[in-house]
Amino acid sequence: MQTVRRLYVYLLSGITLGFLIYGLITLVEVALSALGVGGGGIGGRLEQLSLAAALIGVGLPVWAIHWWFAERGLDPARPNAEEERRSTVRALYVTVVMIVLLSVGAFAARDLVREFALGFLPRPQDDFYGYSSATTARSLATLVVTAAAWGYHVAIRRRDLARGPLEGAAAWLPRLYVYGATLTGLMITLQAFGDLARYAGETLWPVSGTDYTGDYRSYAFAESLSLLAVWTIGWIGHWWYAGRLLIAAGWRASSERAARLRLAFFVSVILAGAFSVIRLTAEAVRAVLIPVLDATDAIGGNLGETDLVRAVAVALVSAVPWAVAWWLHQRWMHEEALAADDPSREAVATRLDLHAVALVGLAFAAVGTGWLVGLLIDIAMGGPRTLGGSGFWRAELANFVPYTLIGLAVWVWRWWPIQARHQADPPAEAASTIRRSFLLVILAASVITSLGSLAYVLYRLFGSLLGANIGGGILELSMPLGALVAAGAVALYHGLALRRDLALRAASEAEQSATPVEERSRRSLVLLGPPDGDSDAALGALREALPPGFTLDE
Amino acid sequence: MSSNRSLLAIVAGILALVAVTVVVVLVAGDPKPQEFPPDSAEAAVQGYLGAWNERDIPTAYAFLSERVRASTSLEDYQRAADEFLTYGMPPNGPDRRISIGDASSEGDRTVVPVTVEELYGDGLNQNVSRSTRFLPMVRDAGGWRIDETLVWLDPTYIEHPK
Repeated sequence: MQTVRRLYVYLLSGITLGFLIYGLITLVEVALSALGVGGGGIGGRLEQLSLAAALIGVGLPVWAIHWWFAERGLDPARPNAEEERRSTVRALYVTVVMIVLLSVGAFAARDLVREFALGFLPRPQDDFYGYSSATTARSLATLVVTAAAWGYHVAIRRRDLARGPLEGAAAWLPRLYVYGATLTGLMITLQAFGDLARYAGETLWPVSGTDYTGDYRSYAFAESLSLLAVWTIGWIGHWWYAGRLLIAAGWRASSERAARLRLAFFVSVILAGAFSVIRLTAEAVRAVLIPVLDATDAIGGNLGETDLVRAVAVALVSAVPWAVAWWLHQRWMHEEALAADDPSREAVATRLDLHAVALVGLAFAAVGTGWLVGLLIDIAMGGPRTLGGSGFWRAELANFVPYTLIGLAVWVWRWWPIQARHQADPPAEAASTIRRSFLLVILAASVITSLGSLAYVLYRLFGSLLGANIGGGILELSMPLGALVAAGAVALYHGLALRRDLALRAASEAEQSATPVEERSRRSLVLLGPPDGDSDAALGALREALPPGFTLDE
Repeated sequence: MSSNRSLLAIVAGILALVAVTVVVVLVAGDPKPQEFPPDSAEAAVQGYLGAWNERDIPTAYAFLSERVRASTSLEDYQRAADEFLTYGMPPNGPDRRISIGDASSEGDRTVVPVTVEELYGDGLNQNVSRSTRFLPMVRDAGGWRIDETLVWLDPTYIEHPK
């Protein structure tokens, strides 16, 4: 019953908050325009003013009533105050509202910074890719209102946290917001840096045969610069907050240090970093291979020496920040694991690091290998039936040889130590959830790819047998066959590894069940302490004080 | 086989695949077109496309059926072809290739599938766009002919200038 009530209260609060915020944005925009910001004048804005008044008139009272009900439930004098504070629905509400406000506010901030940057650059036409210069007042209004609303919800969340420990969804949902925003900020920052590197490259080594206008250059540069500026602040701000939680007093530090979401954040950055470094390095190698393999014509007849130099330089420069992010987050993850009370944490961090990077390397190597096998089938069986396309195969070769080789190198670099760990302690590694998840993910991806490719091959085969006019011949089959071969090999290799692990686990479990378990006396205890007390420290002190032969398990 | 040896075998296998593919592509270069039987529908399509490759429009025109030629004069066809080539549509290029499939007949209707492949994008986004067209063929006194008003492989209505 309480949950249904909460769903109603928070849903209505969220919807009416949307009305209120939209009305306030419109009102502030009209006010700013009247003051001469972003175009100036209130003429023609009376309709907007009416809309703002209507939205605020409807949204404010209904939101205030529902939010008052929500907040009243947290009154310490009320019997269910603690249950309300720990409720999943409340945590979900705060998380969703903060995500929406951050996203809308960040878009508005980007527009403002872009306008500011365009003040120093040739300004594009108003109809350039939907660009309009008359949005400054709107962007400023949106930023002001969403920032105020976001700040209010941050304060609400901090107050909820200050009242005592939170667990389960009440803890991880808002944490999802913190690490999601940090990750989004970091990814956009690194991507924007790469875009800026590309524009710098296009300025240093102009693109042959194309005429990039001032509009393109100005707009694209200002857009990337604004994204970089806004999301660097977003990333650093959220990361700083997450870092402060680690050194906070009481339960929050231990809760944060042990959080799986924090670990998932590190792994996500490692995955994205490995992916981007391989992709960008492969782009640089591809730029070198294109002239070496005489594939220049196929890529674009106007490509000159400067285009290739630019491609290599831009790809490598863009890869650097991704590599730094990858290295830093890998290091931080290991450092935190080493500092953790739980000695198994470091083994988990090492396994996650090794398997995540191996997964990315394998994906690139498998895609590249599939294309190369398809290319060989294409040449062997379909080549004579084709006309033209002299550079076709060379262009494909220049693209997929780097993926294959770099992906293979990265996979071996990480898979080799995984194998070494497995050889050193087979039962422990076979029992690892991370290793099992890694093998199952690869197995699932390769089986799905194999099935898709096989279905397509059979469709063509049956069509041919039944005399259907499908067309395309072997050309349509070469790449699916290549994908089938590569995915099949990957599935076989990892399927066998999984089977060996299953056998090892079964043997280990059988051995454990055969070993007589020593009878020990057991009593359950409850540890109580002050709301901001450090229960981990207390538990550690108790463990140290235990007499020989006693253990304290959670 | 130990896990390290199997890993080394995989690495060696992939490196060998890369080496073989590079050699095959560099050696294969432009493959010689398949020789279809001279009196086949596929040979007629090959001849038509070959003439377009050489920009030999009168020869290409000769591969169209009597019905098509009766509706479109060589002069009009040449004009349409010149316009087509002017718009930057070379029929073949290093980034485009054409594959001729096997002719198939159903009743008195014979078609030859022709697949045009174009390379686009780069890196992980690189892909091949394929479109297959079925060219209707008829047999007249001179052999197999394409029974559709085509400019290269585009069905076109060619208007006679007023």
